[in-house]
This record gives sequence, structure tokens and C-alpha cells, in this order.
Amino acid sequence: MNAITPEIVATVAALGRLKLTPDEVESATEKLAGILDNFSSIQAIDTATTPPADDVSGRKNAARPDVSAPETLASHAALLEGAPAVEDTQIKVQSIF
Amino acid sequence: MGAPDTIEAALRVPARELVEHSLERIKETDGDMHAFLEVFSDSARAEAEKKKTGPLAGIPVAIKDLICTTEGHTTAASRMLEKFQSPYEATVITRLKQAGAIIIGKTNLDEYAMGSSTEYSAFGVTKNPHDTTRVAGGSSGGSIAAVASGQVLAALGTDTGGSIRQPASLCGVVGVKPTYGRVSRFGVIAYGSSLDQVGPVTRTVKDAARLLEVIAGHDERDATTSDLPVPRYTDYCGKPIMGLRIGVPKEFFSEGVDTDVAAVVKTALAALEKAGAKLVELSLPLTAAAVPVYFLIAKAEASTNLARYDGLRFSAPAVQSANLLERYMKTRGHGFGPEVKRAILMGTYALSAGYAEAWYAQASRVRTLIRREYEEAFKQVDVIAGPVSPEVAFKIGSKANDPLAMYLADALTVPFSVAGIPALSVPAGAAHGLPVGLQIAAPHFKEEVMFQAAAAHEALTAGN
Repeated sequence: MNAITPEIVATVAALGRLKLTPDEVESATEKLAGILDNFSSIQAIDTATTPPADDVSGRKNAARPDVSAPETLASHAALLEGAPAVEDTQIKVQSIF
Repeated sequence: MGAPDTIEAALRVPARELVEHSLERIKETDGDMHAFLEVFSDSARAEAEKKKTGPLAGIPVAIKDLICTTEGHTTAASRMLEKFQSPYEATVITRLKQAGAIIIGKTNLDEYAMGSSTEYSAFGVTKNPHDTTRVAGGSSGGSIAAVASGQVLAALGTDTGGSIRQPASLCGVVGVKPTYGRVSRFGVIAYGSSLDQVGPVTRTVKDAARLLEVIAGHDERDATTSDLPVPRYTDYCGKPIMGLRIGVPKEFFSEGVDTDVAAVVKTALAALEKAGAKLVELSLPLTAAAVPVYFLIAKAEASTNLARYDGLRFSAPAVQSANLLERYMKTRGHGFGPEVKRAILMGTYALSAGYAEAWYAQASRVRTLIRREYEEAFKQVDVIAGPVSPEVAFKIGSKANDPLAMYLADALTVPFSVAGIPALSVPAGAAHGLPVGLQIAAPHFKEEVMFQAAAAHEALTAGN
């Protein structure tokens, strides 16, 4: 089991699209290491023949008729109203590159 | 005339009086206690003037601010959603309104429901009404404090790993986590999607049963909801418990549990035995594993659920950034609090290449073992009972910088969450001068047996 290092925390933060300050990286490293050390006890449990708990609801192929709902959840205008920046009927964002 | 203390009594009082009483009580008590993030005085008064029918006709209900309402804001107690106004309401809100209830406001919580004390709210802590130097518990601390302090008779919370039951125990009210799939999660901001459930918070067991009858049931908009019919839970409140088999896991009374808390719970169980129930000692060896299993799965699911928050579609903290990726990173860095960031880090780590098999996949397999352990136990007993929390309400600030200690506070509630079974907390007495709850759990979709046992306990302790 790899130990939690500041480099691992920084990599994981980037994957999670989180900008952390150096203090936050240091604090997270210490706290996560302690938590995962405590949680490592589950590694000793024999699960060689146990399936994962993929299905917790007991429902299989829950479907509804493939027809348009007569009502809509919210109007187009209402959905745009909360956006920080809009242009015509679209939400405006910064350039990717 | 004093304010009614049950929904049944309140149904005989005009709605405008109930609303004015709630608003007055909130004004008197909430400046310090801070149960509410937003109070809908105008809309509640307007609703009180309309004719109301249904099992909750005219009853003011407080809503945890994780549940979308078209009234006011839905913030999840996060800076990320500080200005968010939902364009639609959750299914549970629609059902409450159809039953005649009046939505009186949104209550405080740990940010995105991640926490056990409501200290992680971005908008201030909710204090315990019994001792304002202590926490109300969490994450549904606001809803619980609102009921416990007499601001409202009923509230909705959410429970992922104990977020209704633990604060209910710490504040001395009834709080219910239904079976996973019993209540629709449509319109509820997601924390752990295989664990989250909406549940009632009330002063009496029968009121909780009444509220659950209203909100439970299949919803086409939530494919995980069961199509099993919803029983009349209120019919089971008052049923005799002669011969009811109550399983008592020895692991729930380990050295980590405060001795005075354990004594209160054992006294309650002894009273149930004297009234005709049969106590059966159980051993559930995987109890200790439930904490890591729960947090690894919950944080993994949370990291996925929180990935949608990019600050582009709804108002977010203003940040300067050179491009879109930098905007994401800065917005999320600013908008999320420390526990939410910790959840994203832990969850992303547990799911990432090279670590996912050892952490997330192993947790998922152990989850299957825990579920089987409870299914086996319920072949011998009708309900399982024990303490809700290892301790009474702790001092504000005492665990805020120790996340592991905060996680271990949920050690007795997370097993039932992981197994997906229903469980509730009902007031059982006091230790160190503070409330202690008795936790009662039932098999999947057998909430009626849980209510039967809890109502019997409540009747035995009435007047104590």
C-alpha cells in the first residue's frame, strides 16, 4: 500500500480539479495518511469469493415508457437565469486553450 | 393555550396560527442557535391563508437546505451554491405540499451533507438547543435543532451515514433513515448516491410515521425507488410488542461507547423486555469494518457527484483565470470547504488507477459481507437495537480539526447505512445532562416493525 505523500495529494487534487494551497496540501497529506492508515484494516478481510455490492436498490432494468413527459421541469429561461454569463440562449464560458 | 406538541393536535389549529407561532419561535431562538439559513415568512403566511387538506394540512415543515425548493435558495450550506435558486422542486417537497404542508424555511447543515456536527457549514454552526456550547450533531443539525427547540413540529433531513439519527440522538428528538430506495432522491443534492435517503424529523414516533407515509413511495424520476406499496406506518404505533425479538449486538457496547450512554440504552432495552419483548444477544463481527467501508464508498461517490460543480451554470465565487481549466481549479478551490475538499481527495484517490482495487473495490466487497451479516441476523430477530452515538453532544470545535475522530462518531450509524436497512433514533433519556437516543433498525422495507418497537419504547418512557 503506497504511503500518502504530498506528490500523491497534488496529483489527486489535479484529477479532482482542485487548486490547493501548499498549506492545504501539507494538511491534507497528514490527515489523509492518518485516516487511510486506520481504514487499512479492511485489507485483511477475505473477500476472494465475494462479489462487489453493485446493486443496492434491488431494482433491475427500472424503466418508464419512452414518451415525452407532458410537463417540463423548468423553462429554458429559468435554466439560463442563474448562469453567471449568457449570450443569446447559451451559457458563455472562457476559452479552453 | 400552549402550542400543540403533535401533528394530530396541530391539525385542529388554524394554519395561520401555526405559521405565526413558528415564525415567532424562530425569531426568539434562532439568533443564537442558527437552525435556519432562510425563513420563508411571506410565502408561508400566504400559504396559510389558502384552504389546506391532507394529512399534514397547514403544518409548517422545515427543509434541510440540501433538498431543492423553488422557494428561496438551495445552497447545500456551500459557497459554491450560495446564490443558487432551483428551477424545480424535489419530489419529497411536492408530496409534502400535496399533503397540505407549508414549507417554512431551509435549515443549516454540514456542507454538502459531509459531517457530523454542522460545524462544516459555510454559513456558521448550528448550536445544540440543550447546551449552546455544544454541537447539534450533523449533518442535518439545522432540521433537528428546529424541531428540538419547538420552532417546528416536523422537518426533513437526509441521512447517508447517520446524518438524521446522530443529531436526533444528540438533541432528543425522533429521526428516521428509511430503507435505501423507500423515498425518492429526485431533487436532493447528491452526496453518496448508493446511501443517501431523505427522512422525517419529529417530536414523536407517530408523527415520524405520518411524515414517512407522505414522502415514501415509487417515483418515476428516481429509478432506485422501490415499487413496493407504502404501509400505513401509523397503524403500527401502539401495537403490542409481546414476543418481539430485539437483537442487541455486543459490538455496539464496546469500550468506545461512553458508559453512561450505554447504561441509558440498556435501561431502555430492559424496559422493553419487561413489557414482553425478547432480547437476543447478537454478534456482528463486521461492525468495526463498517466505518472504513462507509467512508471509502461515500467519499468515492461524493467525488463523482461533486465533479459537476464547475461554476459555469450557476453563480459561483468570482475568480480570475487564464483559461477554463484554471477556472475550474480555482472555483472549486474557493467554493468548497475543507471537509468537501478532503472528500474529493479521498474519493478520487480511492478510485484512481493503481489504488481502486485495494480501496474502493475491496470496500464494495466487504459491503456485501456486511449486508449478508444483517440478513442472517434478521433470521433470528425482528429488530436490532443499540445506541445511536458513542457519546453525547460534544463541545463545538473539539473535533473540527480531527476528521478521523469525527468519522468515528458515526461508528454506530454507518453499519445500517452500508446494509441499506431502515433505522431510527428515539429519545431514551439523558447522560451527563444531555439527550441520548435509542437506535432501532429493521429489515429492508420493514419500517413498520421499527415504528412498532419505537412507539412501544416511547409509551414506556412517557412522562420521564
